[in-house]
Amino acid sequence: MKDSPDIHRTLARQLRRLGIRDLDQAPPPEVWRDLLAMISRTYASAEEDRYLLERSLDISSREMEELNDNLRRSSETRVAVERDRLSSIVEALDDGLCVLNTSGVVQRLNGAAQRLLGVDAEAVVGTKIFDRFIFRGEGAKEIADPDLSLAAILRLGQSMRFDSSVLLRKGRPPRELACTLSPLIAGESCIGAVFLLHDMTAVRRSEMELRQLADALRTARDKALDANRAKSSFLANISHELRTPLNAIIGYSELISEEIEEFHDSSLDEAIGEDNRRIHQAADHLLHLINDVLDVSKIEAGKMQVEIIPFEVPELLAAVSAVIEPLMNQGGNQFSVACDPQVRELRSDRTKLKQALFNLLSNAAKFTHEGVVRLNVTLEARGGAPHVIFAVRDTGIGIPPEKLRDLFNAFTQVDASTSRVYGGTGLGLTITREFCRMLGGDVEVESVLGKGSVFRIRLPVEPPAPKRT
Amino acid sequence: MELALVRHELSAGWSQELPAVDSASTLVIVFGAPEYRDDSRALAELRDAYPQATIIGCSTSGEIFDTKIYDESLAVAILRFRDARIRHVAAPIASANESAATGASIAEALVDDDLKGIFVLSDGLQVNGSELVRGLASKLPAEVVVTGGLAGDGPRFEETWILNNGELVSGMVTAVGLYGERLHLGHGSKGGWDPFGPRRQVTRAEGNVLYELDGRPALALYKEYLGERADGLPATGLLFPLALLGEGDERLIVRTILGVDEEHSSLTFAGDIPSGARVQLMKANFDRLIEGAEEAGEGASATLGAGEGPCLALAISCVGRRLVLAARTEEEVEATLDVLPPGCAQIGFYSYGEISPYASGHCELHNQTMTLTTIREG
Repeated sequence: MKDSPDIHRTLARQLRRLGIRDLDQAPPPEVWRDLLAMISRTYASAEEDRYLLERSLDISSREMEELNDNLRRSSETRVAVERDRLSSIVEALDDGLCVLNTSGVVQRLNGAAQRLLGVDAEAVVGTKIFDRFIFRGEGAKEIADPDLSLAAILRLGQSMRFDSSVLLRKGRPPRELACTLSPLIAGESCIGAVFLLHDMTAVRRSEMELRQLADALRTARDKALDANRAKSSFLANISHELRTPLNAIIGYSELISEEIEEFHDSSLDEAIGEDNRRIHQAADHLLHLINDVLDVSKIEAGKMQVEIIPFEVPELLAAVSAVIEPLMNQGGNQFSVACDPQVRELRSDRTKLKQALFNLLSNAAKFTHEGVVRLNVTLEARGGAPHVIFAVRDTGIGIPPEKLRDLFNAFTQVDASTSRVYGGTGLGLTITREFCRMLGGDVEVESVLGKGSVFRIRLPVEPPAPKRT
Repeated sequence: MELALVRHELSAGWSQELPAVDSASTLVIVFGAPEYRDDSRALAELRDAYPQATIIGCSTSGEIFDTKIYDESLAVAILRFRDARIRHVAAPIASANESAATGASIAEALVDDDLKGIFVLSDGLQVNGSELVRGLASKLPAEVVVTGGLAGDGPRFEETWILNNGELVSGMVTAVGLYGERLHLGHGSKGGWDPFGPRRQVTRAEGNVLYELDGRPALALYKEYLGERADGLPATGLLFPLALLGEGDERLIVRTILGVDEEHSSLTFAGDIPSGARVQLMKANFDRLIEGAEEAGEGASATLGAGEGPCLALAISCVGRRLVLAARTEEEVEATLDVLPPGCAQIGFYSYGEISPYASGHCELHNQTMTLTTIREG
């Protein structure tokens, strides 16, 4: 009976308790009454159960509703707070901000945008405002079509900037703007665009001021250059004019010197020979100065010509030595020249190289006493075009490190007192460097104060293609 | 295994002559009315009849004998094992705090390689049943079955007793270890109270007094759920116990309402309610309670397994169930025997707490359950 599918477990137990085994036979009346009482109790307790479950369900539903309400209220509050925060950020922007839908219709705009456009929000929300703008990128010649631009940024999902745009306003002057169109993306799709307006008036004004300043500077510089050129030209002319009488003085003093020799009269030599030598010396010094000034003027005026010819280096060294040796002897200096046998022919400007070497050697002679001056010529062929190095090494007074930087600048000697003691214009090293650079090379210096200096001229074996005109 | 069931009534004496089965392998289990404290003649007769046997037992809130429930009687089962061994141990419980240590010492005294199970009977009032069980379980392999119960004192909760090898004492725990390869033990335990309403958290409780659930006054919440049924509290409290939920929701321990405090809107329970615990209200339905007993019987049958020979079922049911079921109480002891193996004999008692492995594995103290232990040799 327990296994009978039609009989509920509870009823089966109740039947069993009452001793009812045969379901096909009605039980005696008293057993029947007991059974009914039992079943009735079961109904009653089921009803009791339902009462409690319904109450429980009711309480749960109510609690759930309360929870739901609280949740909604708190999320609404949070959303409102967030919306207010976003609004105040948008309003705080100095730039104009318009939110457009995908067709370019204005959805909302901030205060800065209203001020720029010169309209209230109500007047433009729901309308298109692109006809008020000329879109142009910085430096672009073409004007961009705003509608096409909007379509492009929506399609590509990327921003576009138009830095040289113009806002046209009725009855008011147009305004220069930088406009940015950015896609507004929600989830995966573009739901519109953010249109940013940055007023460029101030930027344009300062750009114009800068441009005016630059123009003024350029004019001033041109004037200064003109004046400098005029000065150089004047110097070149005046030097030339000065050289003519000076050459006459030197010529005549040499003539006098020869005539004194021819007379073999020691009294005559005593009377005027020494005076004549001083005239010659002073005139010669003056000529050098004038030549240097003339060279510097020519260099500054861009008129110095370069004349490239092939020549034998040893022959040049011999010529330089012949001129410089007397100067070396005057200071009691030993002088030697050594030349790498690989160094033969050089194609360069012989005159300028000779003058550069003479300048370096005469400086060495001037600033060395009872010392050694050596001229070493070597070939540098490692990597790149071969170069010839002319190194002038002395054991002279040396140069303080802080002075090395300005050493090659015009009108500079190590200090003002130097020129008084050693003489010279201070132009020799400037001319040397300018010549070396004209010939595609350079000059450099190393020096230890009190020990001596090394100047190196570095010239290419083949001259560079002419750059200067 | 030989098995005999005998009854004794204070008024009518022994139901039959005590069978002559005394031996060292004889176990006598006695469930007796609290009144036997004052009249120990019957217990003395038992000791005289079985001088070599192990005699354990305890006072009750009702004796179960076969399918009937009695008061003022003794329900006695006499087992003589053929192969199985038995070992008896008893320990005093000075205070509830020492319950875990007492449990552990009992387990250590009984544990052995072929230990199959332990049947424990404890003083019902001076012990913290949960701690006793925790101590027992801490020293035993998981496969050892621990069952038993806490002695009862009718509906009075005043004084209980146990039999320590035949001698009536209070404040003690007695246990018997059952050993042997041929011994089979089964167990089943089921409540029958239905949980209802959402799970809630105990936000304020002290000891066995519950003040707040989910931050709301506990008594007010109970009344909200029970509606007009709340008018009967605390008398109807037995119908609406509280389930304590473990980590998973399945492990229920049920606490019965003992009293209400309108002033503090609190409820007092028959056991501790820990703060922070997750709980759920429960409700009684007579038919479901009786079906619970039936399911406990099915569980005890299934875990015992099939076999021949006599079988003893020890039914330990909660005094709360007797109070709830009242006149229908016998239906639950009929229901268990209905589903136990044919020829199974049943004695038992209404207790102040039932001990058994819940589902399987860990041993727990339950409230409001019908807990069955089945024993067979062969």
